[in-house]
Amino acid sequence: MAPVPYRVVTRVVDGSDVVTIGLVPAGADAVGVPAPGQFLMVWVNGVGEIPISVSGIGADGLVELTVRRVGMTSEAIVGSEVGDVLGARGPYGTAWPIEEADGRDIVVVAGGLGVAPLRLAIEALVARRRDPHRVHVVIGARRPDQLLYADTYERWRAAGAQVVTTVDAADRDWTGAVGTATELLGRHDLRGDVAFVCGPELMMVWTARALLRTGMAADRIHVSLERNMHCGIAHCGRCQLGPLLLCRDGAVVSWDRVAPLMAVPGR
Amino acid sequence: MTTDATRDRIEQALATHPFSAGLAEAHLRRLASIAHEESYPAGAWILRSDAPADRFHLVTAGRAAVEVLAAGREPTLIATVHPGQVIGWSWATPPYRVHFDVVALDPVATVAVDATELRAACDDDHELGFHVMRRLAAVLAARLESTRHQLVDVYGPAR
Ligand SMILES: Cc1cc2nc3c(=O)[nH]c(=O)nc-3n(C[C@H](O)[C@H](O)[C@H](O)COP(=O)(O)OP(=O)(O)OC[C@H]3O[C@@H](n4cnc5c(N)ncnc54)[C@H](O)[C@@H]3O)c2cc1C
Repeated sequence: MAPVPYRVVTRVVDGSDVVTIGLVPAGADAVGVPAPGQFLMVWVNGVGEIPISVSGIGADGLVELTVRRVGMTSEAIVGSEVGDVLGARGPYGTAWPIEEADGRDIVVVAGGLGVAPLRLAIEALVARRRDPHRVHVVIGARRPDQLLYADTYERWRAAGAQVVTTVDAADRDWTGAVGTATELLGRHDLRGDVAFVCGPELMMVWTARALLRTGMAADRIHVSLERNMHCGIAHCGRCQLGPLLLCRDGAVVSWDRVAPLMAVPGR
Repeated sequence: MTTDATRDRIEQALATHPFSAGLAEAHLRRLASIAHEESYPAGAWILRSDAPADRFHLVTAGRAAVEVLAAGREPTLIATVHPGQVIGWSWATPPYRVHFDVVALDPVATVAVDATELRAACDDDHELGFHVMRRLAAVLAARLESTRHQLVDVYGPAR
């Protein structure tokens, strides 16, 4: 499958090494409309191709990607300028099961860059709330200046969501919590029946366990497992986890399916 | 002097605070009899490191910060404490002196249990003592887990 050319139309720097770029189709072709949680394979000419979650969508086929610089290809995407052309194919992978939150309280837990694949889900959840059931959003980061999309939290709150933030370190001016997301999940006002979780893998493991301790069922906890992927279309096997090919069966999977597969052999 | 109305309010606060909710009625009454209400303006010290650990605070409003202060370096904010949580465990183990500084970040309200009386109550009613210590152990386990998670620096660069 060949990548479709997309032109960079917006570029917003978020913290020291993260950038959110907006892309629109450069020609007549476009990728399908991504559902919250799905990803695109993003191609940079002469550099490489990597999976990136869709963090926003808009008019005229706009897709937004929030990218952290970690290696060659992500560096090239972060460094792209308005007007540059990248390639995209997809959307691939499973989506957050938004309807599962209907009639239930939902806890969305996002750590670090993990808020990117959850942003569309949070938007969809706050847009759908027509009953007393609540959307609780817990966002964790290393420091306050590394919280992504901080200017949208007030809008989510105004739409009825409870949004709490926690960081590993801050000074006294900080108005959120200092500590971990797992510690916050012990709070009674943050209890839910369903959870969407995305962040570094260790953080997701700890969060899932903390949610289980609150009595949440394993099949109601959904995580996004972003292991290295290559083809995106369940051919190459790079992202195999036990019986799952994460580019097809994930990245969003329920905890009951993956918990037994998460053990890491010691060395 | 504690009025009946204040006593009722304290009993009510203890009955609903996550630390003490679910304790037997008699135990709640015993705790209420050795507790009083305290409030701290933003910026006030709630506990000072190395002072006698004479109170156990159940936070009912406002946020507080646990800090480490040392000459020649900026204060390090280790954790925040929120309504529904507790401040202080140094009251439970000898030599009963406070380990960390705790400052009110907002106006903070607590139900403060007298620590000397609480230790005596736990000693002479082991049933009460067991439930208080079991709950305190859960608080400590959660704090220890959280501190260990912070040590791992999960949001830092992959190694
Ligand atoms: C489904 C999915 C969605 C993703 N969404 C996003 C997103 O929205 N934003 C974003 O910035 N990144 C996202 N990633 C991660 C992104 O794909 C990797 O950072 C990228 O592949 C790194 O490629 P590179 O050429 O820049 O670096 P490389 O040279 O390939 O790797 C550099 C370093 O990053 C590590 N690394 C590579 N891939 C991953 C990975 N998947 N997870 C953790 N560490 C990795 C490598 O081990 C190495 O240490 C996603 C990954 C998946 C599988």
